[in-house]
Amino acid sequence: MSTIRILDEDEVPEAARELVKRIKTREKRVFGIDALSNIWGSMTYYPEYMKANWERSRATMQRGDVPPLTKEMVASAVSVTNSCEY
Amino acid sequence: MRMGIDEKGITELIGLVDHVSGMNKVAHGLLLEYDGDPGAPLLPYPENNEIDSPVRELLADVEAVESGRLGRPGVPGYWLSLARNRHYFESTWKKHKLLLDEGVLELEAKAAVGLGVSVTNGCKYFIRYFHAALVNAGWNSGRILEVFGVVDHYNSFNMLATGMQIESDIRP
Repeated sequence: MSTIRILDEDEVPEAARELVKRIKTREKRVFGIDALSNIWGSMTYYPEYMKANWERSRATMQRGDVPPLTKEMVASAVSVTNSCEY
Repeated sequence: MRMGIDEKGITELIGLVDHVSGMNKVAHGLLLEYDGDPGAPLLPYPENNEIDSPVRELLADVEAVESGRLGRPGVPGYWLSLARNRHYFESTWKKHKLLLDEGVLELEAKAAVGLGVSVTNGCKYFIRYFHAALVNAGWNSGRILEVFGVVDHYNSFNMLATGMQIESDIRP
């Protein structure tokens, strides 16, 4: 059970809605999932934080010379190392 | 994370994390310093006359493989440190070659994974080791910094997911 309730999409604050749309577009493209994943959903209470993480996510995962698959492998490896079930 | 990687590739990736994490802890525990760093290891490296023939053969294989990987001659101190225990050394070296040098995943990606795990575990020895492997493979500092960006970003998201106890909604 999450510490906070993840908002349904129609409950997301106005300030986060455009961002949610952009994140969903990328998640559909990269992971093939239609819904906003819970990690992003947990940030919708705090749109400025969500935006800061989205910009870092794009900067670290989508830009540069290292192939996206290599980056996803490093990301998964870090998560395993940290025993992060999510 | 699937992106076209099959079950063998996933197992290989987890195996690589398991292997590098184990080596990180041993290198940390043995107080190993990568060549050029100050400090003495916890256990002295074996002298030539303490190394028997099967271990000598293993060390020759280590030198051949690792000099190609790291772009520098010699046997890395990590392997010398294990050489007093032939069976432990041999089984670890075989696992190392299996996971780093064979399989379906790209070799440079594996070195990047090794760096990411070592940074996350705070293991200076293997940070230097995998950094050397990437530099020897032609990676410049900008590219290597991209790996650090991913490590930073995912350590951050791991913290968030754990702190919020967020349930995973991403399934294969």
